[in-house]
Amino acid sequence: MKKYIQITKNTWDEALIYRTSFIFYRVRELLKLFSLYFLWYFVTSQNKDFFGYDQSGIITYLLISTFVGDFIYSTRTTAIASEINEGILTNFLLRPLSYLKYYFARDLADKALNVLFALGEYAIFFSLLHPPFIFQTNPISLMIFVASVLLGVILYYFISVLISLIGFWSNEGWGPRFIFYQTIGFISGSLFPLDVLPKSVFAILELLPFPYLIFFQTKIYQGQLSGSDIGRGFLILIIWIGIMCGITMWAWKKGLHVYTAQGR
Amino acid sequence: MLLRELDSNMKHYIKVYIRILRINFSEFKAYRVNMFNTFISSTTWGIFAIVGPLLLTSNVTMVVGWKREELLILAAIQSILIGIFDCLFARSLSRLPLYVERGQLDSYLIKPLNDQFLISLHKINYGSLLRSMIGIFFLVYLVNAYKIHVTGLGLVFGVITLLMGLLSLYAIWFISMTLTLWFTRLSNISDLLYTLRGISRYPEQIMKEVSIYVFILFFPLAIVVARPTALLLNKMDNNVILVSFIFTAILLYASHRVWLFALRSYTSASS
Repeated sequence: MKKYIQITKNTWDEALIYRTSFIFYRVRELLKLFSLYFLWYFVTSQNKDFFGYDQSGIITYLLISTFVGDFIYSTRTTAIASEINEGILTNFLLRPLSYLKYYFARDLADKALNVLFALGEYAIFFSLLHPPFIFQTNPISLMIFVASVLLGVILYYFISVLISLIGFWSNEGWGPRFIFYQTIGFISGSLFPLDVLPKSVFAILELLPFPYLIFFQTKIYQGQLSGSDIGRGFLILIIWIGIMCGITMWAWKKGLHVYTAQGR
Repeated sequence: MLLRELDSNMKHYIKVYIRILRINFSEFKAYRVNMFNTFISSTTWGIFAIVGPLLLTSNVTMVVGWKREELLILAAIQSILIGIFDCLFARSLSRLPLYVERGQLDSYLIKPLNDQFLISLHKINYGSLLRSMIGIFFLVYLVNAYKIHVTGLGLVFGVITLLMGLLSLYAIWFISMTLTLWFTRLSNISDLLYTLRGISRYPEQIMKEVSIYVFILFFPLAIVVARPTALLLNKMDNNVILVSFIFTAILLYASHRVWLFALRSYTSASS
């Protein structure tokens, strides 16, 4: 356990050494937030009801989903594919540590840093714009929200690792990976609330793991889910974590069988 | 005599550029998997660039004076512009920080060609043209589906201002990438530029509504796509063409001057 804590600390320090790159990344995220906010603000100014959401509802959804996305989507696991292709993985296989736990430790540092900066950015955002945001004051809802975000982190970790393990079988798998990341971004609810989609489409999406990365968490925050919906959502989320963990471990073992340490 | 020299220079650069296009096309064909990946990513970008506005405008009839179909046309034209920009310039310019960091810029500076020309155009991404094609297809569909009346003059002015928008975007991009000659750690500046470029898909009126300072700050990006679209749809006076022309000329000149000034700081370390 101590070694993984040290890995987390090292990753934190590493990110702060390359400050300029990180700051540019955060500036980019802040610009995205501003542009999305203004777009939705003007769309909902003209049309007071957007598929059942009023302006404050949609803005709250947008801000919370972006914040949750900052936490859940920040990951170092995208480097796994190139480490496999370049043979760098060999260095880790020879060490007395679990490669997947190593990356989870790195992810924790990355997420902590991103959330810290996101909080500062949101403070600036709120003080400048005073958006029509609904603050959740129910402590139970907030606790359930935090729990759902933490489970979302674990689910996304396995999804991201699984996508990166394509590196065992393909040197140039960035195309399918790209399309996968884009699609996840779309159907996780990070761009718009998924319940604006037709009911049949939404019903199918609810069975997939992706809405439980962003959409489920944001709806909990907004207090728009009943107790049974929350219970069902958590059950589906936990089942998917189990499934993705199983598939990832299977792919990892299969990948190690074909790994040739090319480049080393 | 001067004209003859200019003419001969122009022919020489055209020949060089045709050669660059051929080399890049051979490379594109040679790496099949990469070609396939590029097609996938371009198609994905093209589709999502249109699905987003479709969803956003599904429940509204007008935003800041733009009707739904006009906003969709704006998205389609943005796709066309971005596809062409990514094809011609993006790949070349995104390599500049790498060349500066590794001292590889020397090999471009010592060649008997204009270095800005070479740095800006030596890499072509043919796969990005697919995004432009999706944009064109969607544009034609929208014009037919909504029976939008496009005049010949509107089309000509739209294309002219779109070309000027392309050159303006290039100049902004080039100036920003030139900063890496001073600040070598700004290697991910192109990521920031991609995000800023996304602002061009919104009507400029949105920025004016937010704040005049925001509009002034993002003015170049605001007009890159919005003005050609407005001219195509006869939403704007034709004399904006002159303003766009002057603005583009200033930006291109500035990009050249900034580049020459920045080269003084290039030390070719680790080459």
